[in-house]
Amino acid sequence: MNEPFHLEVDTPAPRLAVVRIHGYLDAHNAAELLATCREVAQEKHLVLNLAGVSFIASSGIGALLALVEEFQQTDYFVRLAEISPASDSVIRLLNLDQILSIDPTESAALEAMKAA
Amino acid sequence: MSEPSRQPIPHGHESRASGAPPEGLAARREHSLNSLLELSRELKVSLDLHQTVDLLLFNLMGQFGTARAALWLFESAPAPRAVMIRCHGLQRAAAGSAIEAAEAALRRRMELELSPILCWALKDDLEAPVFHLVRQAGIALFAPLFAHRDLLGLLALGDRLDGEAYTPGDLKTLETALGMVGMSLLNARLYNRMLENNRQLRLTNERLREHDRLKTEFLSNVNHELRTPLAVVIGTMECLVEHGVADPAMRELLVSGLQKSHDLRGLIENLLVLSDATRGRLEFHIEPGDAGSLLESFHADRLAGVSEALRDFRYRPARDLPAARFDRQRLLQILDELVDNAVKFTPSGSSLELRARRHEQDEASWLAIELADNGPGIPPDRMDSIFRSFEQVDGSWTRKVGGLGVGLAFARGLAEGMNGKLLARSTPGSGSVFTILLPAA
Repeated sequence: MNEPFHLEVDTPAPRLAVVRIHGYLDAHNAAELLATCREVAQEKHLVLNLAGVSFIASSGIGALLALVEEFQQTDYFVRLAEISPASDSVIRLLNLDQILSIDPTESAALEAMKAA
Repeated sequence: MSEPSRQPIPHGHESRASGAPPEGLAARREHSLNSLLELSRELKVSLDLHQTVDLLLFNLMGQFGTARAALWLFESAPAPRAVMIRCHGLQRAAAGSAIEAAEAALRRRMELELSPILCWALKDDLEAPVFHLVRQAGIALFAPLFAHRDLLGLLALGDRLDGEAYTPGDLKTLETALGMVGMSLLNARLYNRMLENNRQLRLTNERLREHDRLKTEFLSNVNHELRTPLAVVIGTMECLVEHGVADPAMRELLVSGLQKSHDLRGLIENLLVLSDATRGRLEFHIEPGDAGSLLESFHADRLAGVSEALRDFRYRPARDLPAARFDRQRLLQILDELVDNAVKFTPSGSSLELRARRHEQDEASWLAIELADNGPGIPPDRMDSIFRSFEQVDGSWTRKVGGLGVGLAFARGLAEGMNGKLLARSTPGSGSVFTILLPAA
């Protein structure tokens, strides 16, 4: 049975926030993803861990892109980490792997943020 | 591992020609088809205007791989103009200015062609500075939103992040998606209008009941004014009948007059009983309760009307709201007044947010309920008078009681009647926040 959608939030450092996404990411939960990320990552860099994403619909990709663009217009940025196979195929199809900052592990993403 | 660069996502004019291999094209087509299926499935379950627009924008952004999208709906009254409903990735102000400048030309072109138009194809339709404004805003294409043959709104998408151009196939897919959404948005607007009409009908009924109550109160006041002098008249006549008039004819007239006076007093007494029974004094039934669930259902009740007025309305409660002491009916009256006020004084396209949180003040715990808008705000010299304006204009307080388009003065009176407060703060140009403080239970 598919894991239901839920978000796990963490703030491992004062200027870093991690949001781990689990389950289906689609139109039903795009708004919740945006609201949670805006809330936990105020004045923080954000790592989105996609390891638990079992399916990502177009609306889910759209919400991720809206989030990345929104952060880019501030002094903070977003990195994606541990892209699940379900997410990877869509991200590659749209050539977003060439555009977005993607790391193989969450710790690598956090390290990259700290080095920024 | 890629470096955490500040490198912006590319949104240039120079789009690469689509050079995907055949298997890539097949995968793209499958992705488009899945996107359309998702859109079609979700449209069936959403009748909320803003949710539907978010669904469309996120779906298209994910379908085409762009980080920028916005949608406007056309408002017919008071003057025809495009109202921005949602915007993602684009700078709101820049996109708004671009549409304002290009709207007339876009309408002309779209009503002729009924299909999406890439920006470069608009070069001849737009004056050079307007074309420049559109491109500066990061818009790559516009698409019309139709229901039947009525132009409902306008969609803008930014460049694809991978730099590839939108293909004729993409534009066809986009047209299909917008065809589905046009009907859905029309249904959502009609549905919202129906809900709002129902609410208005309910309010009209309440107002009629209030008129009836005021009529009874008026009668009650008149009765009291009549009863006192009538008691003097009856007493005097009884005195004359008993002791003062010897002439039988005069005495008969006096008795007849006295009888009629008694009848009149009986009539007045009956009216008094009736008006007392129906007189609505301002009573409070304060008890501890969960204001969160009340706010949630209030938001659900008012959402359709506020959306129909082309304003966004969200409810954002903090976690772990405290229980509070309040009168449910009175709190709903205050909230209705604040939302009506916000809709009246903010332009279309504005956002209203209903929030709730715990608040500590004056060594006491409160439940703070806030209604924030991003409208034009209240000038500082008006701040002191907004809660008094009703008194100044109408010269009476009681006429407002119970929902005759209750003013802010009345709303504050209700809050204070529940041992709470109603406060306001505002930044001209940025918006206003009205805060209801209710004692935590």
